[in-house]
Amino acid sequence: MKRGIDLGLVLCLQCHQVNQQASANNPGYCHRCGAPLFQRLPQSLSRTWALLITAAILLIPANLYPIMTVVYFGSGQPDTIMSGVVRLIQSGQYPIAILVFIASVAVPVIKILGIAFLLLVVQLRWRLSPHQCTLMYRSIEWIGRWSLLDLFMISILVTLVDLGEIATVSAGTGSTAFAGVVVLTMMSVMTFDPRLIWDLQDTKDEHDSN
Amino acid sequence: MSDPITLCHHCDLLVKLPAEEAAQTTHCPRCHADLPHDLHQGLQAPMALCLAGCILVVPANTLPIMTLSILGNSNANTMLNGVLQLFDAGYWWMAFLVFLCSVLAPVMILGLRFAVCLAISTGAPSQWVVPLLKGYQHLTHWSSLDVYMLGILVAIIKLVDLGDLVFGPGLYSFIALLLLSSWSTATFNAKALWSLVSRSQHQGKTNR
Repeated sequence: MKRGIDLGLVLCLQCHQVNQQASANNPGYCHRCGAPLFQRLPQSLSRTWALLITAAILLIPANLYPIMTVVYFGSGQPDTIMSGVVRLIQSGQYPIAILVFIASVAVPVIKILGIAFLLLVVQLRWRLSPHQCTLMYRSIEWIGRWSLLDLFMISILVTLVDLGEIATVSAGTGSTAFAGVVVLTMMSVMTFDPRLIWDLQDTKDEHDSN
Repeated sequence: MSDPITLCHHCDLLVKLPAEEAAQTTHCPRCHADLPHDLHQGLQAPMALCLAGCILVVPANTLPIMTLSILGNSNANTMLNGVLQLFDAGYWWMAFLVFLCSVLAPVMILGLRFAVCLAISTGAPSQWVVPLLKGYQHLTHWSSLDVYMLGILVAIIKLVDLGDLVFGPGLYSFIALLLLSSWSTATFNAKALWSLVSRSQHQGKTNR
């Protein structure tokens, strides 16, 4: 099993062109699209940690502050993400409650914990199956966009339910923080380089064979 | 004229690519990542689908998606209104994110795909095609029409007990846009187009 890094080859992540490394320490630029080349994404671990920690901090206001207020015939109070889910359960809409819970509560937390776990695997060189770690990375990558669900729903409700005295829906502070969490976790997936997971195994093989 | 080898983008393994006829889908033998293949499927289908999509963007964004009426008072919403209302209420950061993921990225993706296909089919120089293809690839992470569809469904379920909901032409245009944009994704193969760029760069060099 030969890796590109061992053969002096670099994959351009922009256009998927295989390039010969310009010199030993400098991969140079892609000869097809001109993008700068990297054997591994630069400062992948520290950048991902920075984005991830910021996202984790923002998760607190996102859950404590109300994300929207529904006023129906003069009554109504601000709802946080969790109290919105509880309200759906109380009104018996279980499937939708589960959907909103997964998209707005579970997914952001799972993403942050999952990427933190992958970062720890790479940094502390845990001997885990790289197959399963890669599978985890891909699931987190795929699931990311679905947290936008709540934000889209708020933007629909805010315009649709705008009936003055009868009923209004307005967004709340928490939604800004939540939007930040979604963007930061999506960016942290992009800055994490899954090839680092496999590097562990490849360097371990070398140690074993030596 | 395709590369006989590639590197896996998830584990950096050197992979020998199968002959072009068999290259429908290739997986990395080690980490099973989907490797992009070079099979060129023609430019007409993505061009037609993207052009139709670009046209549909206008009604999908500006016509009412649905109308809610309670006790004789009614109000309609459009995709763009949702963004504007959030912006007016001071949630400009959230408005920007909703705008990017539900309007800007999907439109730009359709437009850039169309521009790339047009540029290649008219034999435009490769330095025109390269920035278009690169810009396209940066946007693919953010386009979330499918999530917006689910957002509409959740909003419908939340509102159905509140008053009368009537679906508008914007909803049907949006569903058509969603289908067209996923269909054009299936016909548009960026890797194959990058290979065409390589070929034209190569020819440019030999002609000089």
